[in-house]
Amino acid sequence: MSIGPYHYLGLAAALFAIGVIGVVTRRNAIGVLIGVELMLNAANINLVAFSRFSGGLDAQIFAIFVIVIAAAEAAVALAIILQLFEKRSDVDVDRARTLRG
Amino acid sequence: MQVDLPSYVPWIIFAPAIAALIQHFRGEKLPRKGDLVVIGGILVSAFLSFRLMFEWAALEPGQYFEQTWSWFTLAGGHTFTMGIVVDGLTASLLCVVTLVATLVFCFSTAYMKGDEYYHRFFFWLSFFAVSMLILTLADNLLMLFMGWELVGLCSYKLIGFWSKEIPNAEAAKKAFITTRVGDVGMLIGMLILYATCDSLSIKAIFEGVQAGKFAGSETALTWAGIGIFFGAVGKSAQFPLQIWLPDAMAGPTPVSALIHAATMVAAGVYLTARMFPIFTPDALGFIAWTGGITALLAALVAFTQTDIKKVLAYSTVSQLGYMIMGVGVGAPWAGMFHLTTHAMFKACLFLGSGSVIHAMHHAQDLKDMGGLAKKMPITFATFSIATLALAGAPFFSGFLSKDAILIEAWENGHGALFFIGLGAAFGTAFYMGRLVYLCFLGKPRNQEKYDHAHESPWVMTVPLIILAALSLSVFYDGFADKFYRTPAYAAEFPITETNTHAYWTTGQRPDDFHEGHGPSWFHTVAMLMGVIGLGVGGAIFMSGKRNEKTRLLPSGLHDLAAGKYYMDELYLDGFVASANRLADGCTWVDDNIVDGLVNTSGKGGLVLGVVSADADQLVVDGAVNLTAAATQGAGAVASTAQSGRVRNYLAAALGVTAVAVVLLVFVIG
Amino acid sequence: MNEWNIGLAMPEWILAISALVALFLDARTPYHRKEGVGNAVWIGVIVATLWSIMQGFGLDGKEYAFRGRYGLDAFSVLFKVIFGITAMFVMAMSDTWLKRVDRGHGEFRLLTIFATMGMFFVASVEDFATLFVALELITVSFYCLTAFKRNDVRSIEAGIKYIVLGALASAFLLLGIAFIYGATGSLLLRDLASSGAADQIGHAGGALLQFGVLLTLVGLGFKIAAVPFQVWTPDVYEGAASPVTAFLSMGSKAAGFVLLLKVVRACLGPMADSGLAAASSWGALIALLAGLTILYGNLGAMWQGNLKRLLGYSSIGHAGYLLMGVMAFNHAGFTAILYYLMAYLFTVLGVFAVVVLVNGLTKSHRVDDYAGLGRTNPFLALVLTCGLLSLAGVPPLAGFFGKFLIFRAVIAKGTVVAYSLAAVGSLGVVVSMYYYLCVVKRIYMHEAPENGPMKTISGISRPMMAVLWICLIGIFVLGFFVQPFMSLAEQAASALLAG
Repeated sequence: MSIGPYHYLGLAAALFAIGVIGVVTRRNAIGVLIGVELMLNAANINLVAFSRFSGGLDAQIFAIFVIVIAAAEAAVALAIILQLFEKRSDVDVDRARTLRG
Repeated sequence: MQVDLPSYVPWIIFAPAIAALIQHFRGEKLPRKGDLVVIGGILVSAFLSFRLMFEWAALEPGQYFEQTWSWFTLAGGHTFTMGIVVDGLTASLLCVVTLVATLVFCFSTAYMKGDEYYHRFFFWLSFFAVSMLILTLADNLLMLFMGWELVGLCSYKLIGFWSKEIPNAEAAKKAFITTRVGDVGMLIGMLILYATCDSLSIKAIFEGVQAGKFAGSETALTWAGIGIFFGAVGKSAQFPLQIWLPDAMAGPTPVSALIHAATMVAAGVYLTARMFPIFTPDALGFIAWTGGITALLAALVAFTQTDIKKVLAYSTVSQLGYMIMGVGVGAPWAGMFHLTTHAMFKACLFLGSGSVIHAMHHAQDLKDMGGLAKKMPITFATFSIATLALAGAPFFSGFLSKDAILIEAWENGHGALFFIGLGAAFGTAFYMGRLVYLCFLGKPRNQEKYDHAHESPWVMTVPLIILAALSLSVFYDGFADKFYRTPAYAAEFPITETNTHAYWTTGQRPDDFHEGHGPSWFHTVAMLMGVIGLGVGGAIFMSGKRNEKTRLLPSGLHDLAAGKYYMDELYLDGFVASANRLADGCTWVDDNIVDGLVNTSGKGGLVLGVVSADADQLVVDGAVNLTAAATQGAGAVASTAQSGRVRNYLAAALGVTAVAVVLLVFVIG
Repeated sequence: MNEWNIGLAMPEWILAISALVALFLDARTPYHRKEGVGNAVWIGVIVATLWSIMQGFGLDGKEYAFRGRYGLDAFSVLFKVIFGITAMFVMAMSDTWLKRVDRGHGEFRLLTIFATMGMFFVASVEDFATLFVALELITVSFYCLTAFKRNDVRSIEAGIKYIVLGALASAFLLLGIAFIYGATGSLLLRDLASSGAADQIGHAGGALLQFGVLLTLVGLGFKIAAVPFQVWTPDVYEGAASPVTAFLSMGSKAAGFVLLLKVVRACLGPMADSGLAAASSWGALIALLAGLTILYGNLGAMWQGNLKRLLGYSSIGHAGYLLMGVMAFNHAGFTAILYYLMAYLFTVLGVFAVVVLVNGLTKSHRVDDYAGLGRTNPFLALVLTCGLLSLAGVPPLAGFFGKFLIFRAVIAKGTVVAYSLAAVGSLGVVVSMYYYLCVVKRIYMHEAPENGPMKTISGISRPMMAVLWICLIGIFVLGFFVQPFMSLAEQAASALLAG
């Protein structure tokens, strides 16, 4: 079996879907964060796959940028989650609801 | 025919504007807290207005002053203009506004004496004058709308001037919001006109309509007209948005006289008269009936009121209905004429009531009055003259203008409206007779207050005398013909195709038209209505057995009228309560269905079996939230979706995106 | 076009250098003496802004740098100036605000300048990769700024919400970009405009591209606070420090609109030009989102007792009006958006300047606690009132003209969708009047409680005073002297449309 673009796209779609489900169902902030990372990486796989099968290199370079940005984002997110833990002793995003209405 | 504007005209606006600026920044520190500056500003404005009026009067019939300045140009060469047009409508309204404003400003110096925010009061008065003058002089709807909104803002500030008392602040808000409801209609009307005629200049709109831009879509023109008129419904307190004006009496009495009797509330009539050529027969019918119904309903409520200002307020609503009816039956000149005469005598009545209230130390219920004629002879005399004018007694100005409206209604085939108008006229005379008797005649009903009452100082009585003098009919001979028969533009653009009533716009009457005097019995009937009404209204109290609490209407009708037809309750229950229910519903959906979906779909997707530990939390949370939201009362429709849970936010975002994707697939394929 | 031409990006270089200098100074100075950092940041922003203005005078058509991935035209210059002014106003507010905070002064200023740099880049974006990176530069800086008050659990919560939703939006945006790339094989915006992609978007075969454009628009919706990514706004506005909220409401939103306009112009503009039927479907979709946004924002704001939260909802409402202009797809619509944003700059920052000052005194954002402001601080009350009335669109203030132009552009479309949207918009305007006036009522018509915290505020710093005056004057000038600003907006819109 030869691996074609659709396999990559299928994998990315599956990853994206898993990410979405994780984001929506997880109450643990870190779980939500992981879900988001999955979604970002799914998009990244798409980028690389399209780049691989349609010629140009620029999207592959772009994917590297995205990885860096995702790392920065995760670092900031973890820092904020840590602060949340320090304040409330848990990281349940559902219980952080003083701001509402 | 257009004539260049005299160069001093912009100063009619600038003078009070400069005064307002000075007052805002330096008012408190000036001698007399700056009231002289404000009065000076309006005096300059009044002087120039009268000069302009005489200059206009010297022009040939059909000529008018106009000048436009380019304001800004959009790409594609579309230019917006600011402009001033001065024709009979403008000239007379200018004089009315500046004259009444001058008198009211003088009156206020005594009435508001010692008030903590005296300087601020004068700032707002001056700012109101500026806004009203912008509205009056505008030659395009954009500028007119600016003035329109600004007078609304001033009215809001001035109604709530004594805002330490909560009801006053509430009344101010109610006034503003109710008129805004009308403004939505006006905006929509403006947008339709703009979309079709590609301009907001009144002249260009008339040109567009005449050039047949609405040909084939007369319904659109009807709706545009009704939309514009809806703005007037809000501003001029017409049925069904009349509820704000009586509450607006919470403001200081000079404000009631200036804004809520003579000028701002009349702006709606002015707008309707100004835009008259665009109204289709259907729109005119709508306008006429709105006016007629308002005139009658408000007159009935006035029978039941015991607060002197409230009686006058309902009387104002009723008279505004009269004017609107005049415009609607195809005689804007008659409506405008009544506007002018009404401004004088109603301002006089309000200032008279202010004088009484001042003398009674801010008591304004009729139960404390009676017999004041002896104590306050000047107030009584002027109040009586204005009452005669309002009742439409001969030799007084109201007789001429009211007569004109009734005759036009009859001759243009609105028989039913004619009788409604006649009924309202009788009612007006009747409740005014009641008011004068209960206030000034008979025995004092509150001896203590009576003993302390005194005639007001000259700064208050002189304006009363001037206004009372201007309620005599001698000043208005030939007035309507001179000022209102040939307004600007109208003669240039006869729009007869869509508007069969609009003989006004052609400047000439069709041949089969009666010379507007009607059969001779008209005058007799109208006169009798006024005189008999006044007489009866006063006489029934003579015996001393009846007082302000006596029910004059049949019981059921009395309750209905005294309850103001329960329209406040209708709005409150109908709109606010259903908003509450909707909010509750949203909360329920949010807490039960959205959360439920999120939870169950999540669990369902990951774990087999739907049994979830969240289930009890769901129910409990749901119930708690529901109660919380219900107690929040006015809990928001949108903000209840804001549950504070980030997962709900995520789910909502994903859900809407999914819907958008589905839409995309189905719409574009 | 294939030159590196790096001198063109001089404003960004200046910002980057001043950020590095500030970073260095920050590391070298003790925590209570961060004036050096502040000065470096101020100088950087001022010089960068002036440089952009100079570039604007010397500009001839459109110039490119970084081999065509960075462009400079009238549109970019206008926005760089807007972002520069925003940053300066926000820095004046933060200087005032930071006096109440005992640490983190250096970091706060650094994050501000990084976000500003991101905005400058955004204005010059020419391809999707730059777009994403510049956008993330802004967004990540804002994640930190939002959660900046780390002892305040509300600020942390705001940070969590902002970052979770922001990351989700980024994922959508990235997926959208990937699909667009997959369909067209290029990351350059102008390739999209010229490659005949419009035909694909308009036809059944272009599912990949359609899907990509939709996801991109939705992802950008997060930045501008539009449906479906509007929910974070009130919570984050309430939780974040006031200068940050101000920066979010103007800088971040405007940056979102810059990108949205560029993407719409590249993807949907050609389609509208060639008169494809699908253009109206896309218009209807955007109109739907705009209408929902307007309703959500304005209805939600009606019951708010917290002024910052109220401004959050109102900010959603304004995003809706701006989207109305996007829906028009044409020069008039884009001009209207640009004018609206210019007016919004002075209006909303004026309001927030007052909020920052009053909060310093009362430690509260409750609308009730603004009672008596008219008595104790007449000037602040005047600025706040004019700002709120301008937000509400009362003529003849700046906000009115923005709205007027937007409505005009939409009405000119003449379709049923356009008329319905205009009707929803008018409803929103009326509703908004209610809640803005509730605040004005508090300011003027209610007395401050005895012994309450409301007193005369003294010692307003000079930059802060300048901000207040400039905003007040701007609100009036953009309402009266429309022409010069209108022609700026028109030039920029023409430049945007020229591509």
